[in-house]
Amino acid sequence: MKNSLKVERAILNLTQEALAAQIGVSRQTIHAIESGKYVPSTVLALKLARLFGKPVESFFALEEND
Amino acid sequence: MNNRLLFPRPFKAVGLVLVALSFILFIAWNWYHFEFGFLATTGGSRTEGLDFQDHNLTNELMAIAMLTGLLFIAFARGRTEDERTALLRLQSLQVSQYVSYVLFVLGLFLVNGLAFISVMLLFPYVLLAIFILVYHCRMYLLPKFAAHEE
Repeated sequence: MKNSLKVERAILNLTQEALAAQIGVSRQTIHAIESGKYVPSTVLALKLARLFGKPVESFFALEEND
Repeated sequence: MNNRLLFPRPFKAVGLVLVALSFILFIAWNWYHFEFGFLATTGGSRTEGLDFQDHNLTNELMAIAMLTGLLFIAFARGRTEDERTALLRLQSLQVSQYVSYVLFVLGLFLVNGLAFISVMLLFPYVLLAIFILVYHCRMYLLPKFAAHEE
């Protein structure tokens, strides 16, 4: 699954640390999601959507092999 | 994610102390035959039927301290516990199970007689030690190699 979390984070001018604190995860988790090494749960994805004020599909998208 | 099955964070330090003390006690017991006098037992019915009798509980104390210490290190809460750390714990536990059972099977072939009892006794320690190693490597060591982007 690909994502544009980094872009959304930049729009809000948030560091990984600040974003992590707002949704209750570690900075490493944000880094892992951005680099595609970790796919978050529905709960975490919805928390991100609420924070960005956008639907989940706007920053998470399935890839061909998903 | 709130993992309620984890020990409080300070238990990790307690675990490290317990492992260190039990390791020192193991060296003293194994090489210098040290035993605590107050842990001496009377009678020998506890190990009847085996070729040896154990009249002191020092080694039992050592084993319990080591196991408790390893459990505390393995399952004490980290600085931040979230869904990714829960997944890492699960995967590390799986890897440690596989590796431990492979070592156990090797022990079945390579160790015979009474010495095999040692292999069985070591199994829970090996399982926890491998889990601690794998989890901490994946959690703390490997991310250091990754780029720290902001």
